[in-house]
Amino acid sequence: MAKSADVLPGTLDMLILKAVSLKPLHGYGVLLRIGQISNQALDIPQGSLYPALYRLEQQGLIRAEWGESENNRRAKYYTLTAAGRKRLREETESWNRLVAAITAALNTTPDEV
Amino acid sequence: MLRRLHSWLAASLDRDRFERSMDDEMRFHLDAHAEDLVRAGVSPDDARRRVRVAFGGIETAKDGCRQSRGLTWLDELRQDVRYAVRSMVKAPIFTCGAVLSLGLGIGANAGIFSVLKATMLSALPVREPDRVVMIGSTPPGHPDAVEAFTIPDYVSLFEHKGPFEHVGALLQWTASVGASENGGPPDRIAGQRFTPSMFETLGVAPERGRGFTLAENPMGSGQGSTLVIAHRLWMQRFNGDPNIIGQSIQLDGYSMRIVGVMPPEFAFIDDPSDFWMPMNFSQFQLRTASRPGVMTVVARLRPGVSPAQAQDEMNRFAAVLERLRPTMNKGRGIKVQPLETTYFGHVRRPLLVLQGAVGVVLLIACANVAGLLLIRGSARQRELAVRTALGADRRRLVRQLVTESLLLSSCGGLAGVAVAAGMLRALTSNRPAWLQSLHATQIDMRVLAFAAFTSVATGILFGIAPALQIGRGERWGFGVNGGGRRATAGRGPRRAQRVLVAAQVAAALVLLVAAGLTVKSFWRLQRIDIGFDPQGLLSFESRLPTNPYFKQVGMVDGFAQLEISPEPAALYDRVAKQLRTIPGVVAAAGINTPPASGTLQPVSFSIEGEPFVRRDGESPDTTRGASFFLVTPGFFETMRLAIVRGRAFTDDDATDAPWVAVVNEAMARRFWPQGDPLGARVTLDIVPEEQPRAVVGIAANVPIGRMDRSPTPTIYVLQHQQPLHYRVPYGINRLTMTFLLRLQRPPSVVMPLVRRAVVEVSSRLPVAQVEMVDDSLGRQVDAPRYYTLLLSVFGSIAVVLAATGIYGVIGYSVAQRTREIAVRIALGAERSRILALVAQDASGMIVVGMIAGVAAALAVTRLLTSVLWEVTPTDPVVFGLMLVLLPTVAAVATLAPAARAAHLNPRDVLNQD
Repeated sequence: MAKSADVLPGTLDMLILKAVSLKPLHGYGVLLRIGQISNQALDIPQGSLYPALYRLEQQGLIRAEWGESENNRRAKYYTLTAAGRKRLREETESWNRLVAAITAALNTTPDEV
Repeated sequence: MLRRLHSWLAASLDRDRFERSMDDEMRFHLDAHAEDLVRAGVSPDDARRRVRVAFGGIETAKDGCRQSRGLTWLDELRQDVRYAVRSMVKAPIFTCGAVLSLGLGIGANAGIFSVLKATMLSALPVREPDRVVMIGSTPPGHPDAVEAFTIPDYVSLFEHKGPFEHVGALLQWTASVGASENGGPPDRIAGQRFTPSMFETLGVAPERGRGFTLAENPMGSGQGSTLVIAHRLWMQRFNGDPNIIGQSIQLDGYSMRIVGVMPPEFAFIDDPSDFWMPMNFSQFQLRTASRPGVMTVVARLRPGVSPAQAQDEMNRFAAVLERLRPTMNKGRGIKVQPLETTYFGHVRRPLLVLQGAVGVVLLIACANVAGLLLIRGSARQRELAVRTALGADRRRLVRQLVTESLLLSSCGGLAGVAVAAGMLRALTSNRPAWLQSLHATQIDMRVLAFAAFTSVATGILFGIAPALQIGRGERWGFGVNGGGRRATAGRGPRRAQRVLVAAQVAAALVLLVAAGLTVKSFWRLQRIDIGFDPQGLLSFESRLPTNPYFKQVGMVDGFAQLEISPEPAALYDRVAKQLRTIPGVVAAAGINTPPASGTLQPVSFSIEGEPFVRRDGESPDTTRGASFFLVTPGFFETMRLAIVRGRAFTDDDATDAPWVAVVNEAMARRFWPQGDPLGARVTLDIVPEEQPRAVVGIAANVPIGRMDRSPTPTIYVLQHQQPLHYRVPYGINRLTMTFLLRLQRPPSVVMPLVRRAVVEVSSRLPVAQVEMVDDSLGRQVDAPRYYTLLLSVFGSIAVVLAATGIYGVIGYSVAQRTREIAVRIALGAERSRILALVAQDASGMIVVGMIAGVAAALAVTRLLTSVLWEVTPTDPVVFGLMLVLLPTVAAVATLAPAARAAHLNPRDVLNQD
């Protein structure tokens, strides 16, 4: 397995939003999805998942609904709201800009200085 | 934002459901994870275990969720409050000190302000009080000495109007009401004479009937016959008879027709009146006048005119008056005063000063609390540092300290409400006459809120100061490792504490000086030489109705000439003689109005053979004026009023003997500056039949009116040496008599005998207004006494608070330096040296405080001038006294901790660590 990186604080929200953007998920599902879309490279501390979910819900970026799971059990499903979609887009853009800048800086060869 | 609130509300309202749902969700997560593991081949038990491990603490996660929903703050608040209560209980002295200080500060403020508001801002019983002004006449060179108007001047003003919409005038009056239907004795009631325009000027109207009309009461028609009565009189005398309008009542023997009844709450200026008579003046009054004037003039400003503009116009009008009557009005001005200033003028300044004083008390209290909090803050530095090191959230710590401060402030606030309520009750029950309107006063919410706000703000500010320093521990002298082991505390809080104490000392000094000044002033007031001996002097009034004794016999100069029967004078003389025979009565005499009580009866007079002396630029035809009294023989002896030269009246000065007079020192000095009044012959300018009177004696001065006014020239004449004919308005003096008795036995024993004696002389003579002269004089010092008492109370509170502050700071400083002191003692320092050390510590801030206090006091006490009697605001005796008193108190406050320090056992201290 590739070396897993600790999730930087603040990025958990972004990942959750992304995970939920593809389709409504319950908490465990979000966990699995993040693992899936990151090729298991990201290590999410499970304990901080739910507080983050509740926080995002409080902020109105995701919506929660009770529904039925695959094996007919009651579970709480989270969906992305319009505001959430917007926030995801903004965060992704700014993240990409940041990463590009740092990557460029780190890859500077001596003769480019 | 709204959504957040909504979800918080939903969660907290149905907490159970929230908890259950959260529980379900997490359980689902664990189960789902376990299922996946089982499917991958892990045993169910193993799976369940691993799932739990992977998840981490469920409760922690739940806590995190609760926090996200904002549910935790309520729980945390509850915890904070519990902690705060515990720590407050653990430090009882601190808690009590802080709560008491706050309570006193807030409560005193709220109480006084409520009184202030009730008195000053209470509705004046007129329409639009800010449009109403009082108009007075000022003597040349004294634009602030407001005097009454003369009648001709009032009439000129009434005709001119100028900046005023309405102008009216009034005169206080008393009348005898005829014996009631059931044969009871005649009664004296108080009322006012209003010009017909007065009702409009004040903007009030009777609740029944009407006021006076100009048609019924043309100017110059003399006495009117219509009457407006007070609600109270209507109830008392007529039992609220609904057919009251049109009924008659006998006033001074004249039948008056009632045309209106005023509403119960109406009273213009303080004394409640039972009736209002129209005042139309007689022709004579319209044409002549003497000073001092008697008219209280009230006017209503035209819409859009400001008092300042009215004053300007009146300044110009004064010149008109001077042109019209040059001798009377030379150099005189007119002063326009808003009703509120005159109505409350003599009250406003003292009350404002009281408010200021109480504000200072609040500041001292806040300083006290701040100091206490700072001390406590320093003491808890270590605790806070440890908690931070153990990972406490700094925000949470701050919140907790704030909660503590708020709790403390709330307790202080509650104490404040209690103090305010108590103070209000005390203030209203002991109120002097001029605060009569102070019945159902309630605590003013605004001021309670303000005072509470101030103290809460102080509490929070100084309460969280230590928390804000966490992490910068070095600045406060405490790190976790060094905590408590340093010999002295850091500099920050100490400097703040010392500044606070110095400020408290300064403020306390200011209050003490103010209190001292008023005490001295009051003491002086008590000792005013009133010229006579009021102790054991009883007075009662006996006034005859005009009807059988006055007869109008014609008009001279359009003015009512009266023929006065000699009977009243004879009756009064007999009463005086009878009274003297009563056992227990040492002396008795009569006077038409008691000298130091209020009413001035001015009269013009001429001196026989005296060429006119020009004084102060008076023109030769200025008539002379003085106050005059009609007395019975034995007056001076009864009053114990000294005769400086010559003699008093005797029984030999009978009705048919040569007429005599006694003048007072002020009159002698004024009108005979070089000559000798004794033997001079003076003629009163009342009727042509007046005979010249020989001046036989010079009496000591008695302040006329209120006790603190300087004596005016006064002439005393015998009430039975009077002409047959007389004129209005002097006539009434021939029918009123206040009898004075010097008692050797208590009044309760003597009074029945007095009544019997009077009835024996005539059943028509009433005995009314019985009181001890001492009491009525005492009433005049009610206000200063009240005032002095209050200021003294505040001064004392201030001193106690300041002393507490000093005690706290020094005590703490000593506690901080315990190790240092112990070391010093161990190294051989004398106990006295330690005392000196501590004293030196204290003296710094006390001296600074005193200096600042003196400077502040010198500036501030100037405001007290108007309420001080014969005491300068910079009185060195008072200042000196307080400069000794305060340091003494401070020294005592320092003594306890200093003694403690000096008697430390070094071994105990050093072993502790």
